Amino acid sequence: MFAGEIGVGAILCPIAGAILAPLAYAVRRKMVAWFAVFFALMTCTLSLLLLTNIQSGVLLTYNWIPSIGFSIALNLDALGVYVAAVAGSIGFLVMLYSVRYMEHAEIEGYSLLRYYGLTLLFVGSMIGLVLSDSIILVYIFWELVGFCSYALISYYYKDPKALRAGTKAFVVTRIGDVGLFIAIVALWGSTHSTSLAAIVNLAPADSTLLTIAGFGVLLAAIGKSAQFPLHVWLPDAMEAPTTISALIHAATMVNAGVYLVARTYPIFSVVPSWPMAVVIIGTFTALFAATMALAEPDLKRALALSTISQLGIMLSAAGAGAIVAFEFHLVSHAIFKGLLFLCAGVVIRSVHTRNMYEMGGLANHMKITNVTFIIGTLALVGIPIFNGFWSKELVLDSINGAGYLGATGVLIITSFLTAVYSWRMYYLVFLGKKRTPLEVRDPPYEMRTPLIILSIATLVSWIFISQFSSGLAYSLPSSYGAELLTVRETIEIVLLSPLVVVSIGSLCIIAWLAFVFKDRMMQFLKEDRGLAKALKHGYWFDDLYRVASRGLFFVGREVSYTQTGDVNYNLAGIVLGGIVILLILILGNMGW
Amino acid sequence: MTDIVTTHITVALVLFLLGLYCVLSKRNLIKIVIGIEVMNKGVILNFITAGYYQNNLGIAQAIVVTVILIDAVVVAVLFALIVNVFRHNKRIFAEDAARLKG
Repeated sequence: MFAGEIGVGAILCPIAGAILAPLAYAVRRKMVAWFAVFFALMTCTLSLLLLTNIQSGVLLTYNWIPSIGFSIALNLDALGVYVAAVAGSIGFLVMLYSVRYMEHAEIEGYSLLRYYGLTLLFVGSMIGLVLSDSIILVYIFWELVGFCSYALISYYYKDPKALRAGTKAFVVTRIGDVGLFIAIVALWGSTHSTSLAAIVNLAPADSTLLTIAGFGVLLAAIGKSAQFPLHVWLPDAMEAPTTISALIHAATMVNAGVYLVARTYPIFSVVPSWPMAVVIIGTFTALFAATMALAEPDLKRALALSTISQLGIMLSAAGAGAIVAFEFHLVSHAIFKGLLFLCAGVVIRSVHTRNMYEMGGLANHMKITNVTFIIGTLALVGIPIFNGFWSKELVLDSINGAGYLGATGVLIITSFLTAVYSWRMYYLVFLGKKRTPLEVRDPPYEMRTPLIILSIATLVSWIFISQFSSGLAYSLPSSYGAELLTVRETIEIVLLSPLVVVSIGSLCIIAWLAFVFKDRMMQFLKEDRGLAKALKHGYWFDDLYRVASRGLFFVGREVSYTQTGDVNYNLAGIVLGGIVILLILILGNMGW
Repeated sequence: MTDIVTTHITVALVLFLLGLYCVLSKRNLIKIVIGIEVMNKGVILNFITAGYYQNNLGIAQAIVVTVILIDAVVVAVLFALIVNVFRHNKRIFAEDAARLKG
């Protein structure tokens, strides 16, 4: 009933909120925050309603440009709807949290209108991206998401670091966008269709164009989801307000890349070595980012690196064709990473620094934040009964089942590293001696509520695996290979799998670190030499890119000398070009 | 009939190339404008010839009248630009306008 209308409503509601926000701001400046919360609540309701309206096949098709087969349609299958529901609900919680968190911005001279308007647009674009069927609409929303993240990362525009981070995010993700554009053109060239559902059903045979499209999509995912070697923008994006970081990491932006790979998996699975390439990039990034997170002194950057690592795990699940495990891990990760970022926001708001070495001993001063952060961390590590445990074990099991033994091994090592850096993060922030002179206490209710809701979700979301997987199995074409899983089966798969040793191992590592090894490890990671130095500098990837861009600027300056601006010179060029075109036309007509 | 057409097209081509040579080789902006105008006349003559060749002289004349009209406007704008270049630099060489480049 009205499924299509609800879908359109979920896309248009936040966008309408973004358009109307200036009116609310004009009436009363303070009102804009609650206005945005109201629209986010409506979006949240609509996107959760979508969960009961999962449909297979496209809806509300509208032929826009029939001659090139460009039609707009809504696709309400589970793959998109789950991501939309996550974006809508976490978007609402983040908005609620922002009301108090962003109070200071107006005083410091940053407009709240810009913040709330862009955030609503951000959420709306993400929902539009995952619910659209036409790949051209996907591209438009993809760019909108990229633009919003750019504008929000440099929200504190008086800080040159924030400006630089925003520009960096924009430029780096743009490399991926080129990949998506190439993929769209190549896909259209090989199938003459822009509808993703139609292309999936066509199941085009392998060809050169399809190979190009496949690797274009992979490049797009690498850019958007911050995978190796384009991972450099995500840690820097932490200059954004913490609420925006939570949104980028949990609900919008970075999930788009891995979502696109999962969405197009049936199209490209026939391309030789494409699934392999996806799995290799995913697992390598997972390990690579986890090692960097070990030595990171900045709380938010450490969380960002852990997101890159978790996205790598998701990407390898998508590449192995494990659609249920992939989607399940995406939703679990969105919940617990949103929780972790909002907790980090509370901490940063009270201690006014992001450096973990200046925090410490906060556990007794902010009890609720402490408990919720522990819940988030345990889910991230993958300790039993938290949602991260079930989803990560499912991913590992399905990658193992798909025959990627090396990838499984790397991901197990990654899980152990995850345990180490998560414990280090918790230890530095909440345990030990209190290193900040400021008075620290739990946040006000507007900020506390999202924390509590998200920690409850972290505890219980896995119970719905049966409904979750049946939605996927019912709505997706069989080429996705989504399988039904009941809670009981999940428990059996996970607990009987030999890989359950990962979570037990993680527990043991944490215990070992906590009681025996912590001082030496902390000392080693704190010092700025040897391996720790390489980790802290992100293996000097930034410097590599800096050198590359300097080379590019040099070439640009040298080439610019050919542009004299002399009229006669330019005209001669025009005439020469005209002659060349004329020759090509004449020779073409003569049948060359 | 084809004789007339060939002659006219040849003359049109010669006019066009003369204008092109003038535009490419002169520094004086007014001379460049004159060159553009000469090129334009070649194009107009070509139009008329094509209309005559296809027995469609009416349409060709209509287009040519429009072209001449627009041409007058273009020349007026170009001279306005030249006057402004002269006010800035006290001379009207083409490279003076290049100061506008970024």
